Amino acid sequence: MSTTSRITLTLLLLCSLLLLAGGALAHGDEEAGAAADSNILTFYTHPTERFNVLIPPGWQNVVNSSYALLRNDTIGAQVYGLTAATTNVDEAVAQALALADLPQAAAPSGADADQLAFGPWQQRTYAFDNDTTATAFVQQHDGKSYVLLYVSASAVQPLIVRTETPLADDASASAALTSALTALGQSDAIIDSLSADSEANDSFSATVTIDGAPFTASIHRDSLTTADIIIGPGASVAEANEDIFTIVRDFFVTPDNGSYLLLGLVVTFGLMGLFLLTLWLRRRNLERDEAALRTLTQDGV
Amino acid sequence: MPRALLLLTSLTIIGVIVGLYLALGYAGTEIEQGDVQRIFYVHMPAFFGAFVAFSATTIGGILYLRTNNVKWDTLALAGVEVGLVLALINLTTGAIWARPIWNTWWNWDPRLTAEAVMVLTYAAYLMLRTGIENAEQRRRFAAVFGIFAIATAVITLVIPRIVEATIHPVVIAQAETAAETTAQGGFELAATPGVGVALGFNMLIWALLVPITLIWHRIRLENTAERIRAMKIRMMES
Repeated sequence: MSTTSRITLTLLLLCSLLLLAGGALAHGDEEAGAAADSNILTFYTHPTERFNVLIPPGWQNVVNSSYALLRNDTIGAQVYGLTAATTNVDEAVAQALALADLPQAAAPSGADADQLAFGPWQQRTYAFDNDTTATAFVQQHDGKSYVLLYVSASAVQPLIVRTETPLADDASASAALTSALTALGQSDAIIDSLSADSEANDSFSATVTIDGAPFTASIHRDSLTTADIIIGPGASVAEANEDIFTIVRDFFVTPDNGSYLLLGLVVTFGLMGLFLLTLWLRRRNLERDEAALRTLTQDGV
Repeated sequence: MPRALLLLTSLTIIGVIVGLYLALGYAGTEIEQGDVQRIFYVHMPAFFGAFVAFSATTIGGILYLRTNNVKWDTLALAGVEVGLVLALINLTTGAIWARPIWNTWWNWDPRLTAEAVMVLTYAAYLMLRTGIENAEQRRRFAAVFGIFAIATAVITLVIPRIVEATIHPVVIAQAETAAETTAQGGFELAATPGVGVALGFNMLIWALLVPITLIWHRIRLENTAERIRAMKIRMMES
């Protein structure tokens, strides 16, 4: 066997091993993580993709067979998660409000809708008596509505706002906050001050006057075109409230799509392997031809 | 095999292994897309690898027309074969990524369409090459075809930057580009740890070492074929 053939074969063998190792590594991380961290809660299982929620520190998982409930008594907040077998958002949110013992027929103080990769997305805010507020995040997918309801006993409201430009300076942060206030139905609110919290210009704090009362807002860049915003009464809002965004992102948009990664690697190394195989076969055939021609030449044909 | 090629092949194999480790083990998981985003570490460098290989075809074509030296035609042919493999890897991994992110395997988006045209153009190069009997005519035709075909690769490269109606994300670009208003599945390079290192390293491997190594191997194969063709002609003449 020639040196080239040996190298080609070694390459093919290595590709096969890499393929197996790569897939195992991609899935191994998740399995190891799942085994090590019992805090991972599976809200639901999609036929092709599993969605998990990692419970943030300080939050309690209240086990329930039909819905998920996370609570943080320090900040007086609960997160209800449920799957509603309907694409009617009103019905889905009403089910979530019922779980939280809140008036099901409540009209939202604000609403926002968008089309995400997995399906339509809605965000609704509610204000009830005695400072209780709620924000419902609803993702529709495959004829179902997945609802996360954030309930705060201290009138804190989290919102995800789509931004026209990346959140990178005071002006863009102010625009994002104005959008959030509009989504809350508080377009008359006055932004008193706004400043950057970090040199990276991806976190900002603001003071806002709503109906004559002082509120605090924190604005954080989440992606190029979205910002996470928390608005609450008083001079500051507890950081733990921001955990809702981690929960929302884990719940809605981080799927277990390792199988697609594995397929991608199989195709990559499969195509490369096929090409290397054709190179090897063509070389082998040429070497045979050359040997035959040399024999013929030596025989004087 | 020349020692330099042996060294290059070894470096490429090691590089692919390390690149895979960086993509699967070192780089963090992108929060919105999940693990499937790791395809990107092969997907994007594979396109640039194809671009390098197709550029070799163009250079080979120009130099062949100038010098009439067969070795430049061999370079052009090797570039097309290697470029096609890398372009197919880019195209198929893109489709696999799009299924969970865009909820479809394929979309007639300007970039995807441009890339499909590019692949078909270079596939046509190989098919048309085999259809011309006269060697001199074949090489001349292939050289001209190869020079013009690079336009399809350039268009594929720049189209998301000039066409607004695209959902293909522009990864290396200013955040305010018009295309990003409709792009889906993009992500910030700095938002996930390790992305820059994994991408940079894999670019070096898949966009440079892999095409150069494969082109070299393909050239050696073609040289062997040429030598055997010459032997056959000599035998027939004698």
